[in-house]
Amino acid sequence: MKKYFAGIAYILAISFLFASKANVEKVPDFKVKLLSGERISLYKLLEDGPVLLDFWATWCGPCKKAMIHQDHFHTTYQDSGFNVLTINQDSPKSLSKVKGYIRSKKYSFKVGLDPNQQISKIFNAVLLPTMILIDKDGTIAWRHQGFIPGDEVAIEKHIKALLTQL
Amino acid sequence: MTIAQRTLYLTSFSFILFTSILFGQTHFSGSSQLKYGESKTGFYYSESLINTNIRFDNLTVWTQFEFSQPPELGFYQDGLRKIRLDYTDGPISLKLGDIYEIWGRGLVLNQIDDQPIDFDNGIRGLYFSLDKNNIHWDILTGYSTLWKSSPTFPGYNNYTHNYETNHSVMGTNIDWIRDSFEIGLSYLQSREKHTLPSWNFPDTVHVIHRILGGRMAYAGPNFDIFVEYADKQSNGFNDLDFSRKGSGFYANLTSYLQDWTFSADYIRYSFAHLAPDAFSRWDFINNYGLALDFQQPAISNLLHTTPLLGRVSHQFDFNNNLGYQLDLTGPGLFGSTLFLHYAASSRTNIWESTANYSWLKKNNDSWLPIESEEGLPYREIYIEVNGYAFNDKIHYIISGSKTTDITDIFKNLYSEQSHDLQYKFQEAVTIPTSFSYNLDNGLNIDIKWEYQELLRGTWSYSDSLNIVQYDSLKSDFDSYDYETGSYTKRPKQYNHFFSVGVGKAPTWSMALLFDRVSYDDTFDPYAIDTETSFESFLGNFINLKNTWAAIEFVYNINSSHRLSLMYGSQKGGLLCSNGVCRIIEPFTDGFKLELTSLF
Repeated sequence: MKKYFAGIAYILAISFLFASKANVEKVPDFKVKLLSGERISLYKLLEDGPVLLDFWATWCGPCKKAMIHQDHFHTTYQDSGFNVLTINQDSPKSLSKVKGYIRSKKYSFKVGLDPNQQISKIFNAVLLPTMILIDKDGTIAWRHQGFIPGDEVAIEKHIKALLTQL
Repeated sequence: MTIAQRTLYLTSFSFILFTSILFGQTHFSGSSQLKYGESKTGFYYSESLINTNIRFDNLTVWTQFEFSQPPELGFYQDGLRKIRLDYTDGPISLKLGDIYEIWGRGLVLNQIDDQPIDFDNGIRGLYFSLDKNNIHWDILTGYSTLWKSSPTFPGYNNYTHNYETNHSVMGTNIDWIRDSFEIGLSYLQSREKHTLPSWNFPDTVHVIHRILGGRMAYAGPNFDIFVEYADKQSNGFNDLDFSRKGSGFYANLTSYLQDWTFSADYIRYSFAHLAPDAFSRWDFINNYGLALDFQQPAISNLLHTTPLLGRVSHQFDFNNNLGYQLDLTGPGLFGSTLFLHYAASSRTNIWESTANYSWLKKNNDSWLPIESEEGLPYREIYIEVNGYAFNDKIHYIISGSKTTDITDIFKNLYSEQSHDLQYKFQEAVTIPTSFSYNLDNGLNIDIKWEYQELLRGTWSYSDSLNIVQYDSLKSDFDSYDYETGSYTKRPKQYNHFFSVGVGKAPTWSMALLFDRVSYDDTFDPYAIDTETSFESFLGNFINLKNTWAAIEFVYNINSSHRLSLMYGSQKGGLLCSNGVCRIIEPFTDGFKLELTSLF
């Protein structure tokens, strides 16, 4: 039992100690296949400006609620170099639903496919949705787990703050 | 893992972590999940998971530690659970440790670590891949221990698996990608050590499985197409004289016409032909050479996540299933999106029972789903309208579903003059709805209501000389009269799920949840409700008979830490994830706590 509590204390200590440190480190690069078939790298996208990564799946209700706002941010701030890159987590069992959903909603942001959750592991996205706002220099500016309607206000505030620094 | 090994792992890990961060040569990030739950029935769990990523130039080390006494589901774990080293250098990448990969749509390989249902088909070994010009090439080798649950094997319970198989695996996959075209070939071989019940002699057999697959994909502006075929052969070795052949086929066509999308999926999995009764069909212990657990291919029905629809999910049999699904998505009225779905599936063939309680295959494999009850057909019609209204302040989902499922067959006996058929029948009409309203002051109100009429029971049919003797359903549902102490059969169960929540973005949200059934289910011991103190309190205001009630609270401490609390009861029963289902015990009068951190 002592070892168990020591383990818990270890986890808590690490998570609180390094929660702030992670924000100043450069995120790793990755390549992802998009719905259109082309492959894109995160660092290539960051050359244009900040990127909002959004991890989602077709079976995740809150993720879908957030997407109308992600699309709004993408279209509004695209001219300033900002991009939204959503990372879809559907497995092969429901992968055929993804493109139909995005097209029916006429969303214009980029949709990457990560069916075996390799990218979400790199970014420690354990809950869906997880949103990570990455600055042009590759550092994490802000992140958020879950979505409650109204969260879009905070997301937009952070996007605007990043864009004014450019 | 021994205590010495565990200590070594932890010490090495801590040493690498702290020295590397200290000298600034590496990047470190991770996440942790702490879960605790305790109920008055004595059920409790305490589970902690920590994921870390350490990057040093081209090398990444991913680890997952688990400390659980016990976990919510699965075996006790106290130490390192997963580890993988990823090395990338230009077009080459190398992975050493716990491998999770997907080739095509999973007819050959689809690996997942699905903790909510404790399903893990990962391989511990080596993975090499090369990306050069238009070629992507993978080589995989390693071993895997797979755990599953079976009531026909000793030690069966609802929390931990009781059956283990061991696999020594190697495989290769090659893709040629040019613009929107993709062609791929895969080969996977597994040497399986298959355990039989201890009263058998020998109690272990050795089987070698070989799966060869090919696929083709095209993604264009007006349509996408994907086709995959896999051929499987299993043979015994080490004195086992055994052979089984099978195949699987999957095709998807999605076409786009202005604002409308039409998608059609077709599947035909015929990896093994087992008798259709539940004992034979799901018996992966006494039958070998079946579809491998590494194969988790595409399915031909929707993955539902609403509580009531989730409980009537179709349990997919990868050994023998034939079906299609048709989806149409497009604009509805008042800016909404309309989604129409139809799915049909069955087994590939019909079996007859014999007078001595065995089964005989009656016909050759079919190419279209069988309509007759003898083929265990499944049908679903699903309609959904979703969208935003009132300047995007209201988000709504209104849907309706009708599913008909023959889940099991007990008897299909033909004689010259008569026919006796008995099967398990389930028909559900479900209406899930969800509304959320965004107030100007940042508050949000969320209401979910789901209604279901469920017909379930044993259907018996008999005719003699072409005259129907009986054709009726014996329902699974009973109501109990406390005055007379008698049970009365009820034809249908009427179920409700209702939740009302309020939240203030981005900090907190809370919700009250009610899950109610009208009558008890004779065959579902996980659906028996007991009144809790919380329900007793709420019962002063509303009738909570046969109702599981809970309150949930979520608090975002900051952007990296999220706390969630639940108090009350949750109904047990079938929980399905990714087409794989498992029975979950109910949670009665207790609390659950979860802290998720990113660092």
